[in-house]
Amino acid sequence: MVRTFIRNKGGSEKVFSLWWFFVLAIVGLGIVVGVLIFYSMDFDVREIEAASLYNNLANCVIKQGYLADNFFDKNFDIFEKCGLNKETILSGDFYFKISIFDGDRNLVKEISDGTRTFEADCKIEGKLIAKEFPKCIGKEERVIYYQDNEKKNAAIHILAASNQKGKKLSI
Amino acid sequence: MASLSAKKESINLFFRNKKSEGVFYPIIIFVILNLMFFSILLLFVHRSSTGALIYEQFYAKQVALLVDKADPSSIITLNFEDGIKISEKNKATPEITFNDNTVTVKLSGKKGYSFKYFSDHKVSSYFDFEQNNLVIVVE
Repeated sequence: MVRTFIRNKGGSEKVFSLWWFFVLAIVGLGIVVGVLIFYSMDFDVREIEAASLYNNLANCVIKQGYLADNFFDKNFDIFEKCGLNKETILSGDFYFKISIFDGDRNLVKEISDGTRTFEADCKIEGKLIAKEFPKCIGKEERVIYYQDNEKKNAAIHILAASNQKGKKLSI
Repeated sequence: MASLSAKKESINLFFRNKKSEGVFYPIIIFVILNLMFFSILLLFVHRSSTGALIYEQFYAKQVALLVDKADPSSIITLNFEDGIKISEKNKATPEITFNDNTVTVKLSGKKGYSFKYFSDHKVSSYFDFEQNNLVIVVE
């Protein structure tokens, strides 16, 4: 045993075999590529952002179960009312749509802005896994509103979508 | 006399025997090379996991989401200990700017990461280096 391990001249060839370097290279390359891929991936916060936009819209349009005052006014500015930055919403990464339906499911009023294609993308995104599609939050709630001094029940559907991925700066 | 010759022989076996040198040193070199290789790999993984780019992205997104959720006239205190450590490692000072509804975080002094927030608030920030905190002022 001692003879073969210490005194055998051929042992040196067994220790430094070409295969061992090949295995090291494969293992090293695999780890380097894996680490680079893993750490170059983005933290996906699009769903959180869509939820945040939804909450923002819902909190300013619905006040204790009632639709916000002057919601039906022609000059109702959703950006001013909800404290949203118009340029950011129109930058191509966001979309929202607020629809009011009366008791007979007739559309009473609709407000939407942002990237309009997101609405169709949201329907697809809900059915299959589409990585590049926006993340969406859409919910319906019951509200009360006054029209011509008459109290009416309605359903409000709010859809909020985000597809913002962030930007690495090179300089 | 006999013990002296036996002692000489044992010394020969470990240090002067050409046959043993030919096999024993390659094993040591083999082990050292392997240790070096895996140490470099571990160092690479560690440096990648604590790189500025990851933390820049992490803080930019966190700050933007906090600003979006914040009510006007609020002050947010964010623990920035890791960001300050990364900046010190890169021999830079952490930098956070708010321009055109975009927050930009720079921890390495060169590159950075920017992320938009949709709230129409006026936002500013400053560092509390004693507590390792970032203080965000939303107006």
